[in-house]
Amino acid sequence: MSVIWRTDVAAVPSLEVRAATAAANAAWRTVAGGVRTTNAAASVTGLEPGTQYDYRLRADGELISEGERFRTLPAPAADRLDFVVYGDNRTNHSPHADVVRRILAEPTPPQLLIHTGDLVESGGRSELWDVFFQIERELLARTPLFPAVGNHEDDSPLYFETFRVPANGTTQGGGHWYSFDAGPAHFIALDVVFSDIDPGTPQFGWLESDLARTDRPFRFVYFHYPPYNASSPHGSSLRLRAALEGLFLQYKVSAVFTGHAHIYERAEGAGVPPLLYFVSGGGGAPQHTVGQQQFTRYTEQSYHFLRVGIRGDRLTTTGVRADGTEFDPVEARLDANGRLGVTRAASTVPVIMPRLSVVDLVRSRGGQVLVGYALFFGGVLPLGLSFALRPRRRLVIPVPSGAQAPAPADFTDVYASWRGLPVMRLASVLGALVLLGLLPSTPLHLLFGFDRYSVMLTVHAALGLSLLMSAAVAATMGYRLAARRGPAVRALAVTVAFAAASALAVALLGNVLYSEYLRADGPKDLLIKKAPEAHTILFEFKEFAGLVPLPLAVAAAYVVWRYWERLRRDRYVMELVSLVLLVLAGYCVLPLGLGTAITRLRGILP
Amino acid sequence: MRAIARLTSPTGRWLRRPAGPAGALEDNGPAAAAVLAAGLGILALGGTNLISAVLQPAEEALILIGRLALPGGDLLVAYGGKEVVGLACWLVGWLVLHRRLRRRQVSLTMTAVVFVSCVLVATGLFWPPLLGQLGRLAS
Repeated sequence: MSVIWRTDVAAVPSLEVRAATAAANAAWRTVAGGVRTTNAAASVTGLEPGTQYDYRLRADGELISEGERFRTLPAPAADRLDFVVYGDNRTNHSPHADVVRRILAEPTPPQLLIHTGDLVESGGRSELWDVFFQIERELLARTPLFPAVGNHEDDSPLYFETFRVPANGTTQGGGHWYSFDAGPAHFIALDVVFSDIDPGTPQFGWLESDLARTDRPFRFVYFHYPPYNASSPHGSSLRLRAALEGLFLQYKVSAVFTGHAHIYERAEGAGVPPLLYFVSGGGGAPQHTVGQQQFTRYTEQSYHFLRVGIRGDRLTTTGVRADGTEFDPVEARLDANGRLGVTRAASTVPVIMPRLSVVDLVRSRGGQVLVGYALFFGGVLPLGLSFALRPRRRLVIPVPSGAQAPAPADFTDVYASWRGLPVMRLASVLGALVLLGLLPSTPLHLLFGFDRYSVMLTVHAALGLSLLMSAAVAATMGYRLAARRGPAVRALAVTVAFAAASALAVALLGNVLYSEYLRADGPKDLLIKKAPEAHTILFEFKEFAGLVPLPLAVAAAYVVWRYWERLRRDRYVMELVSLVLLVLAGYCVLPLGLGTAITRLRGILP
Repeated sequence: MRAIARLTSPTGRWLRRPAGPAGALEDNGPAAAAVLAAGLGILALGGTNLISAVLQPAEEALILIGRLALPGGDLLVAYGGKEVVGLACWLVGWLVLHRRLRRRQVSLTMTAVVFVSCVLVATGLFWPPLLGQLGRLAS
């Protein structure tokens, strides 16, 4: 048993242990906790299985914690086990605390806790770990926790310093993947976020040999991304399903526990009887929208944990909401072949879909993002541009090319005295204020994604959008200049230079993303198998189309910056620039539209 | 020919200095060179796409070019090589055209026609169904 604890100031830690049944004056067994530190850990060996022990902690010899008690994991011969599965308790501390309080109130205290990942919002921020332990302190002081790494752990050293998980018997994947036994069950934690898991990788090889080695009748595998999940926005990880399900069936895995989706879902996978999959990601993180697919047996959107019990060859699972009410009770038994099959489930319980009204949508955090987007791109930005692009009465010096130039024509701006302009300005300011009010409460990670790849994708799309907008604005300006009623050349020059910079950034970032798409056994291979047309049209064509804006924008920017005010005197050059800008705008719409179509592949790609 | 030149050039001469008074207009050659080079680069991108679809050795050469010229280019396979060739054609073409046209009055109508043609042809060469047909015809 490993005990970890933190202190405000660095001190030499020590742990004292004795059996809970020992006399009050019985001696304590002292275990040194290592050098002076604030993050202490001590491992006690030689303990009896399934036995309660009292323990207390010292810092520099001074008693800092007393009256704590833990129970060691049950012996292999034990035929019963109670444990809890939960996950994704990051970000919202209040529901997280509610779930923890409810676990503490369990009539049969769990002997261990399985966590499906995303313990904190960002694994690299130590203050978030402080909050996590503040909430979990009482629970973790008495119950061992076995976490699987989630994407929000950020592969941070803080995570691996914090949790002393069992060794996996290899020199690889330290802390990322491991297994352990508890009574009649064998548990396997995988890292499907930061470590490769496809066949042929070290983790896959280790998993296969670990499953082959165990003789426990119940085998549970848990990790972060769900192979079966009907909720949005994440959906199922088909990559994991393809990589792992065959192995799970071959080695008679009893059930798979996952998180990532902030809901509860019970699903049935392949095999006879079908393999049980649970998504339990309702530990506190912002809730997701449930869905229903063929594999879904029950799902609901609630803060909850999953209670699991083993009695002989019988396994029961029950969802427990933060308010203590129970849902989706399931009973399953091991058959003669050692496979777990559901024998009783509340199959008549319908899939609970939340009834959403427009008000609910707007009030939800995702809705705020949408409203913010709609306001910004639909109102504030176009209206705000009226400041920069407002027509001005300006002197036009038409000196067209050619010896037979037409006579100069004076141009009067018909919009200069337009009375609607002040109204539009006022609307712009009000829209900006509303947007500013929404932004602080908007969880930007919903917009930018949860991992490096998602963030890059979002930035790529945002740059593409800014490129399209600047190209469209520049094309409009170019036309107006060519028609001798244009805005200031400076405005056009800055806009088209911005478009060129955006085009460069989009092309560079597109390369990085495309290389990820092309990697061996990556999304491309999967897509070619499932929808080859989507690969050729949406990816291959888009990647070439996405390169075109760069030379166009650079050429236009060069001409505008080189000729500057002289553009007004040579309308032929200005017309050429207008043409290039028009083609540029068209070639921005094309890849952006294809990119939007790619987002519809969520159900196909992992 | 003279009639066509008049139709396509405001100066009546294709790629020739106009016979007007010196300094009346700034030479438009640099603008034409920039736009033509952009079209050339895009066309080169489409051309390499076609060649790699038809000739296996060309695809292997493009993979090698991408790997040598781009950081992380080995992950992009032939796409990286096509980017490099397109980029080189664009920039080298711009340099050459700029040197040739910088002190000239150029027909911008013709420039626009050539530019749009390059973009349209390249778009066709990017389009996978058409590229597949061309590949099958060539083989």
